[in-house]
Amino acid sequence: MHFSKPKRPIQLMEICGTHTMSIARSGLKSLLPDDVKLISGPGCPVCVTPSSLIDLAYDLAQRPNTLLCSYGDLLRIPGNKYSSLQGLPQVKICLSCMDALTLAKENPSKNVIFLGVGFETTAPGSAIAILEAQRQNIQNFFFLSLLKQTKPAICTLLEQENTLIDGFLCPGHVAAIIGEQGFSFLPNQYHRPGVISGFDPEDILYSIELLIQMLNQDKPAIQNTYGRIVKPQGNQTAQAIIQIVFEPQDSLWRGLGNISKSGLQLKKEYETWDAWKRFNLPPLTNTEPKGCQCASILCGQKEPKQCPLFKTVCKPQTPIGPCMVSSEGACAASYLYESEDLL
Amino acid sequence: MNDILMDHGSGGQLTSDLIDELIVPTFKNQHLTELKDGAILPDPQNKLVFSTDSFVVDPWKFPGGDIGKLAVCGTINDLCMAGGIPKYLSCSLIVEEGFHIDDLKTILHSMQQTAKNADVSIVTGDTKVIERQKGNQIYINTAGIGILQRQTSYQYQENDVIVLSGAMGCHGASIFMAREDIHLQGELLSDCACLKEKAMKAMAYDSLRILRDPTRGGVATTCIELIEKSDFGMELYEALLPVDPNVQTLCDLLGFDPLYLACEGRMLCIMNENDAKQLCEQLKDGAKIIGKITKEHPQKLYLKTKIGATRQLHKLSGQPLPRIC
Repeated sequence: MHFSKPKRPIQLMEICGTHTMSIARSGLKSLLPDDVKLISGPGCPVCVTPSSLIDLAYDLAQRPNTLLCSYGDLLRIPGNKYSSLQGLPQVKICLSCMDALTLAKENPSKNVIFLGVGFETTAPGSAIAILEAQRQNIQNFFFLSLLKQTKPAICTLLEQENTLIDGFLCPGHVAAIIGEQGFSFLPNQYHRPGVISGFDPEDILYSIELLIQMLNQDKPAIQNTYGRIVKPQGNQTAQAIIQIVFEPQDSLWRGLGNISKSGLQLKKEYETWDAWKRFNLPPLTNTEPKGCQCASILCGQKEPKQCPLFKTVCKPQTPIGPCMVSSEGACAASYLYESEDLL
Repeated sequence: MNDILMDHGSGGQLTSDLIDELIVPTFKNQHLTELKDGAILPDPQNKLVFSTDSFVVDPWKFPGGDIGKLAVCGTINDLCMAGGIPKYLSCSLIVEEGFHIDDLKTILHSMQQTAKNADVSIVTGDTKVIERQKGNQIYINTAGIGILQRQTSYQYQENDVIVLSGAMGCHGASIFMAREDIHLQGELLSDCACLKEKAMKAMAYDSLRILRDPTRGGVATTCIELIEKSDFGMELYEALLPVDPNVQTLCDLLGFDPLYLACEGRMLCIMNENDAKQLCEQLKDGAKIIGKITKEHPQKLYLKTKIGATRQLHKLSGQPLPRIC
């Protein structure tokens, strides 16, 4: 594949963790022109969740008759007070919020709490589970919403001083829900191009070429190379379900701090299933492990190899920060798939 | 690290560390230090191959097999990979109080059938029962003895190739699906199988250097183990790696890499290219040449990806956990 030559050195951000993994796994960076740099953004939901969640969840799991349900990659994140949730018998791996609802039905004497991390992609499935809980009057199922929205985080990144991002590889899965229109703010408000991309290396290569072309012509727009899945208006049914159950709230992001209206909380009429309210939980705080550079890495200001802990004490077996924990984190991808002598 | 972690049993880096830093130094002797799948013992008439393995698979029954079949195949395969023809097995059962006798019968029958098919006898054994809730239903240890048929070694030659006897990762994927109760369209069965016949076919070639079965840690971890004690490096070609479409779908869904999923009935062998081509035709079942031995980058494993890039492969790090999306 031959790329157009960029008129100046450019930095492109991939926002989605699945893109990060595909780029690393295929060795794609080694094929890019020297003056095109890819940086990994805050698109891994596990990575942007503050580590204080682990302490909060650990304490929650100690309450009597409690089953905590979590996606697998949350389990290895180290907390500040506790090592991690791994190995606790009252913590179960679930692949979706509906699995947690099923577990609640099977264990009527237990309070089943789902740790609801994720973006617009997981929000509709969670909303359906909550509507089902209401329909079936299941009172022992609770949703701990940590859901986040992509747009406020990208805006925060672009409004930071000295922002280094020239264009975006937009997340295909999120776009499947919010549509091409969900990213039109990039050219309209920030004069940045974006390409909605699928996850095969070929999709990503083509999307990068389109970004280079738009930057060379200084004609930023949103293009979609994932048209087989992503429609201009997105999935309007899913959007409607999110709006029925959730409403925007301020949310704390690891690395980016508190961002106004960037999270999703359960609306008042669904508070019966809201774990925050039912268990009277304190808000999360942003405490980073000493020396950990995940915050800067998530903003694209540093690369994993610039962190003093990377590969020295922070490894996939013994992760310090979330970017090493999640298989989609920038540090794990770099550790597992990128060899220094090749790049 | 003061405590055993689950990752110490994953077959990846922490498993290697535990073996190299604790187990081998404690038991150190000439038969143990080579760390092949079985030890070769002196005997007045024959050279014997001796191996042992323990099985703790959860759930004990999975699509394509059960813990009994796995326990017999596992040790038979280890003996074959060490160049032996398996003859005798032991069977030690550790059963949790309350385990159903009917289920135990199913497991024992499956062990006997698998052993019989491979012309192997289970000649000694032991049974222990542990208190309810102090174990996970049933664990099995088997040890086995075979007659050495073919001495193998890490003495490779440049441009030797690597043969994989079938699609990778089916066992790891099917166990994960059974454990997490995931249902996908299409049938995904464990590859759990006895490798005796296939290994004997490979042993017939003079150029055969070594045999291994890529169990825990998968093909990538096993390939690194094959070169880390040699003076050579290895390259694998992504486009040639055989992956079952169902396994690929599961991996895409959950963020796993088929190169790191366990196989329980696949064989890796290193030999010269002409012999390898013939062997692939004999083995059938999708056997393929997947890579080659090189003098460049000694002791390192690289993958040539489908888009023409190259990246280094490392041993499995940590247990694969399903990702969020």
